[in-house]
This record gives sequence, structure tokens and C-alpha cells, in this order.
Amino acid sequence: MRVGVLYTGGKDSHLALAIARDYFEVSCLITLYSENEESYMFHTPGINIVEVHSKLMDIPLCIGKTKGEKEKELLDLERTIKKAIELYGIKGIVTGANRSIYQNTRIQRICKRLDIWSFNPLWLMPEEELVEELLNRSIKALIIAVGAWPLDDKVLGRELDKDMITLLKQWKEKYQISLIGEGGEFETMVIDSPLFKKKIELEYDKIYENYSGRIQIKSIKTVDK
Amino acid sequence: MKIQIISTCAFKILEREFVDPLVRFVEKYGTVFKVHYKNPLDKLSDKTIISGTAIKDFGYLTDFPLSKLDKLGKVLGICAGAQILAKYFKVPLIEKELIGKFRLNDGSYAFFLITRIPDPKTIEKEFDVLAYMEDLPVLAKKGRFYLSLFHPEVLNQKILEDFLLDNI
Repeated sequence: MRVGVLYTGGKDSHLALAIARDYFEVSCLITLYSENEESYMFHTPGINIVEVHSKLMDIPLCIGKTKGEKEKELLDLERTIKKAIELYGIKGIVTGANRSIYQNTRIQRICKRLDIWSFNPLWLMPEEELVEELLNRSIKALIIAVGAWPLDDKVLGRELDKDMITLLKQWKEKYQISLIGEGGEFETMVIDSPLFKKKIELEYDKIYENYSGRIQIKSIKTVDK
Repeated sequence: MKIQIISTCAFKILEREFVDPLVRFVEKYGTVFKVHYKNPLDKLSDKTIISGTAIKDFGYLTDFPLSKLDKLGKVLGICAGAQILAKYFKVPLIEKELIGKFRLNDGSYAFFLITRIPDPKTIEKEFDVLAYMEDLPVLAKKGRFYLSLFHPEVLNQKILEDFLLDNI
């Protein structure tokens, strides 16, 4: 079956993509560029990286745009998925939804209307198992935005590797944060993966104040592994 | 306790979503193994849970070996599993889309992903209704068989516990 992956370039959608490839032909990535940084549905930090990922994986990218107004953005997503069905003949959508009933049910409804399958391979996956699977699959992601105590500017730009995961586990125990950033504690960007022909190197500045911040990318390079 | 989880999923990847979360929850209560309905089922399990998606995948409605249910112990059918049990009891399915989080009449919330439900009038007449969502019976019991139109592994896990510990 040909499927499209709702893709942001973050760790969850990339892991969902890697899992989907074990079962299906991934024919396209589907991304919505949202003008609303507070979108309920769509990841916004560093979203343009999907164009680089698409080239590094030789998987075409189907882009839609949205103003990011609640519920209206779902119509924009539906239009973009429809475009992907027409262009790439996909019969199903794969998402990286883990706990969000809001995201999951809205995508399920769109798939029902468009008569295509919906696959959520990370659904209810325990956080510890999810980060373990990222490491096992050699997916490397950087923390590109933070939004909660005690994640500070030192965390920005750090790789989500074993050491960082150990630190997050300690914080989880002490401050009840999510190990995978499910509560908006942090956002990630994948910079290397076995699915990539080359790895990504970033130059960036940090913008940070009061436990909220992000990296501002100055340049993106792809380099041989 | 030996617990069998029967997958109705047309694709293995769907088990990550509709079966594995159940396995993780019920393994606290006994020895669990999962099996696809197209493979031999275990007749010696104390409890059986049947689960899968019921939005686009309906192959199980024609292929599930209903006669095998005669020989199983206590059975909980979730979503696709509830449709299979409805078919076992000759309850017709009607088109009704329930996708999302809805409030049950006891004030708790439940997560639904179903587009065909057992005829509510027949369920009310022939089953003991354990929970309603508005005027729809969404959790019901007949003898050793339990039908849940929602996914209790997502919201309302107490129902799974009550089923496993014989509290319902």
C-alpha cells in the first residue's frame, strides 16, 4: 500500500515514517505550514527543514498552507491530503500522534471522509519505549525549542541522546515533565537518520527568556556521513 | 490468570495502535499473549479480549470464525470486537459514526473510533446495558460476553480492570 506521512521533521513524525517503511511504500511526506505558532494541530518550529528531509530521503513533499485558525486548519489539512491522494495515489495516512486525542480523532475523521486508512504507530506508546526506539533506530534529533521549567537555554540545540534522555528522566521524576515533550516542554528536529543520504549540520542562534526559547537557524548544510 | 488478546487488524502496523496498548495494560493482571483471529485461538484462556479498528477495516465481519467463541471463557469485544460479538448474537449493525471523546452518562469520558454500531434497540432488549452515551448503549453484557463500543485502554481503563477482576 502507498501511504503518506504527516511530517514535521521532528522526532515523532520521523519515527512514525521509519516504522511505516517497515510495512508500506511511503510515497510522500505531507506538511502544513501554519502561520499560527500556537497551532493545536501542527508543529511550527523549524518546519522548513522538511524540504531538506524530503531531498535527503528522496520522498516527495506535498505542502499545504494554513493560517492556523482552530478547526479551519483542518480543512486546509484535508485539502492537502486530497492533493496527496491525487498526486501520489496514497491509500493511507501515517501520523506520529502519541497521546493527543484531539489530533488523532480529527485526522481519523478526515481519513474517514476521504475513504483512506489512518495509521498511528506511536499511539499510547510509553515514553520510555519511544525514546528507546529512537535510539535503536539511530535517529538523531536536536532540541530546537523549549517551553517549560527546567528546560533552559543550555538544553537548546542539544541532541536527544542517551545523556539527554537520562537527564530528562531525572526531570520527569522530579518535575513530572514529559520525556517526549508531549506537553509542549520541547520540540525537536531530526538531523540524522539511516533514511538520510547525508546528515544535517545547523548554524543557529538561541533566543531564550523565562524557560521559553527556540533556536533561530542561520544556515543548514548537508554533509557526508 | 491467562489472558488472550485477539487482533482483528488487517495490517500488522495497526496492532501497535489497537492491540499493543491493551497488552501493556492487561499484563499487570496475568500472562498475556496476542493472536490474530486468522490463527488458532487458545481455548484455555481465562479471559479473552478482541480488539481492532472499525473505521475502514471490516474484513473480520466476514472472516472471523464465530463458532470459536462458543469455547472461550469470558470475552470482552472492543470496537471491532464488539461488532463481532454483535454478529455472534445476530444483532444487526447500523451506520453510526462515533469518532472522538464523548461523555458517558456516569460523567466519565470514553474514546470512540467506530462507524457501525450494534442496533441500540436490540442491545437494550437482549443485553444488560452497563453504560450509555446519551441514549446509546455503549457498554453491554450478555452472559460471559461484554461489548464495548469505545476503547477503554485510552480512557476509562477501570472497565478493563473490572472485566479482568470479575467486578462487572
